[in-house]
Amino acid sequence: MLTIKIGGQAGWGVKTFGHWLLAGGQAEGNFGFLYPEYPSLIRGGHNTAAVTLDSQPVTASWRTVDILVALDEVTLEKDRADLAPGGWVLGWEGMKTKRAWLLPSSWRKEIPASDWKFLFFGALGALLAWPLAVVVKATEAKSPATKWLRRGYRWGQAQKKKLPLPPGKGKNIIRSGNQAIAAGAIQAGCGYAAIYPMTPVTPILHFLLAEQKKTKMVIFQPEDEIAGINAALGASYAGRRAMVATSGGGFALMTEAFGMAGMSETPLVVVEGQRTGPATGMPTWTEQGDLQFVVHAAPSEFPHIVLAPGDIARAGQLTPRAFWLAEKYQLPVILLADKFLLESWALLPRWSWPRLTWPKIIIKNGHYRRYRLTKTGISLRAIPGQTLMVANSYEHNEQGLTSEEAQDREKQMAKRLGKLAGWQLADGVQYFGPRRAETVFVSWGSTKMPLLAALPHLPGIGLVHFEQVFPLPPKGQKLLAGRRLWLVENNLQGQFGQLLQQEWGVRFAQKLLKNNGRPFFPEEIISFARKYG
Amino acid sequence: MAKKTDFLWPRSPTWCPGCGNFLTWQTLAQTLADLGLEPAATVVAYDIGCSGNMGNFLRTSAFLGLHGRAIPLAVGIKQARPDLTVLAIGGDGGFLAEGTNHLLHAARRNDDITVLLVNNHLFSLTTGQATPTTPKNLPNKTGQLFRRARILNPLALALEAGATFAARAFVGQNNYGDILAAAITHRGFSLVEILSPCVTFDPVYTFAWYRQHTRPLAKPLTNRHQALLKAEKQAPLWTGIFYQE
Repeated sequence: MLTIKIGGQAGWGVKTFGHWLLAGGQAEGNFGFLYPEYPSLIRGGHNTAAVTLDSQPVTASWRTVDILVALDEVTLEKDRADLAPGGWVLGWEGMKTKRAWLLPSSWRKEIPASDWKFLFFGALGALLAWPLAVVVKATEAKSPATKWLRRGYRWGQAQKKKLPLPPGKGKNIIRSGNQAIAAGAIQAGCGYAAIYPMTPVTPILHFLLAEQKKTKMVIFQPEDEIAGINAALGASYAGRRAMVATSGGGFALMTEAFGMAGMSETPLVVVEGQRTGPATGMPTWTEQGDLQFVVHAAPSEFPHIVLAPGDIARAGQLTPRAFWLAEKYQLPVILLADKFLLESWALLPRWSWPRLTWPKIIIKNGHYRRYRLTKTGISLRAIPGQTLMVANSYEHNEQGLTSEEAQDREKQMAKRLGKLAGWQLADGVQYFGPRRAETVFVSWGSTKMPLLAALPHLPGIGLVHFEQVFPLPPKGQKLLAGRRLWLVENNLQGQFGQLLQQEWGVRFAQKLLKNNGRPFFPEEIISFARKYG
Repeated sequence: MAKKTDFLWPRSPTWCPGCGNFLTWQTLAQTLADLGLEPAATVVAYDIGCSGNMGNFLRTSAFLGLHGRAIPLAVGIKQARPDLTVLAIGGDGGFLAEGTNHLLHAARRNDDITVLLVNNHLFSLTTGQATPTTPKNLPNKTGQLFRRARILNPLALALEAGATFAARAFVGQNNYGDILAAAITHRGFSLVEILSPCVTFDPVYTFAWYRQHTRPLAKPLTNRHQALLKAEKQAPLWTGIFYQE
């Protein structure tokens, strides 16, 4: 396993460099993970991308860096602390550091800063003992700048010290969490997406647009998030599978209409990509701070589902499932992710899509009642056109017309709240590690990634990971019973722990909590476990 | 083919006796039938307020939505299903206070929906507070908070934003149905400001007042700017189709 971190100013192609590393690793049959960090600006500042590559599956990037690629002195200063005791620096002549490959400073003047990435990537490729063809192909470079790539490669070849990365046997694809969700939406036959740009979900808008010619999806960039969710509900009412994607602040604006989705029983998928809040917070950083918010979003009582995918492949798989659940139970489903999951990239095996049998929509001319009372609480859906259909945000009778009669209220409330009775996702909670582990980590959402990376280093300790976070899956209670529980959450109050305590009376022996905008690294989990184990 | 009565739910409206909304309800049902539309394939997104209550009396496919948000609801329905005839009905509170931006952006994008803005100058369902269209001489429960505020003119706003159809109609005028029909058949964004007396909370702008002070335009104006200037005139208060592209 090798972790490479590159640092430099925004605009120099730091993230691009990270992608090239994944592409090179892909050609070499490796597995990998790319975690980018960047401030909320377009030029300047300090960006980094940490890439872990291995011949085994990689579930998270590690903090400890084997090779630090320093495009400037700021990188050396800020990121040197992450360097492993035997780690190496790839930088410029004049940088004061031990164990370093230093490129001639005359090249620093000769080559424009935006092209340094070619020189450095060429050099690094040679130091990793990758064939030149792999290095060239990884960059897909057609510009004259490939000469810097070749120059860097020749220079790298001439270095005595090398850190060769053994090739693997993986046949992997490169995907981000955002890409996985966009692909999942397309897989689900989503026909309508309303997305107001907001970090960290904006790339979903871009990915969906790039595929629009093929998918014929209606994509709407609304004037605000309120318009977005109302339009999406209109589209869903009219018969298209619909989604919105936003972050916590945007979802805060959507909550009234989120309640309308519940009241009017209109299917909707909401992708909520958490970032460091509240308010504007730290827009380009991560946290799991919105759990209690999305569980309680919108006034009064109505059923909804919150799914929190644990990694990039699961984000892909759970997305069609979310659309299916929204349609089957006629309610809003939240896919709760975060910046760490959405904007990280993995070099991972292709995942399979769930096989889903979609509920039928009826077409009928006669007397149709949108909110007809049934045993399951689920009424047949129609679409306007052939069938006259009334949806209502007011309390209503079976027909859909407004009613303030106590009887209608009681019946419709019982119908809506009963829809999810006894429901749980087959794989909504998963167990990892030794079956009889006395001590288990308890987590939800993206923390699965560093936890799974840490687990092999912690013999005897297990992991109970929730992806169905609301309503809680009953089988989770059994998995937690009788064990010593360590809560791991990317927030400061242990919000999922609060939920478990409230619903099941669960208590935790220890809590590992963090919300400084950074995800957990496997190292932090290992040292926590060693301290309390 | 659907008749007028097919567009009416067999329910008694809950508006105050004499409310202007009765005329809009009846005229709209007649107009939809005259246009040969079917109740199932005609979708109305309703705002919240007295005019929004029409969702329970006008028999079409419908989504009774949230206050201020009927326009984006209608926009989504039309984007998803261009084959449907889509209207948004709401008041001066919903479309000019809570959801002003939606009106402007739908006009800017020329979304193919018909917005019926029923202007009764007040938040009447909450017993008569000032809206952005409340005249200074109309006594109401919160007027003192807006003494220095300008009055918004929906037609001028929509025309400035790019509406390709803009009209004003008094609910009591003879060709009210013709104006509604023109708006509904217009391809692109259409707005009709409907002057609709609130018989309970508005002692000034009554049916009699409108009969005396409105004057019908002979024909639409030839350009957007002229239409805008005409729409801003208060004496006389012009009605009819101001502009159509």
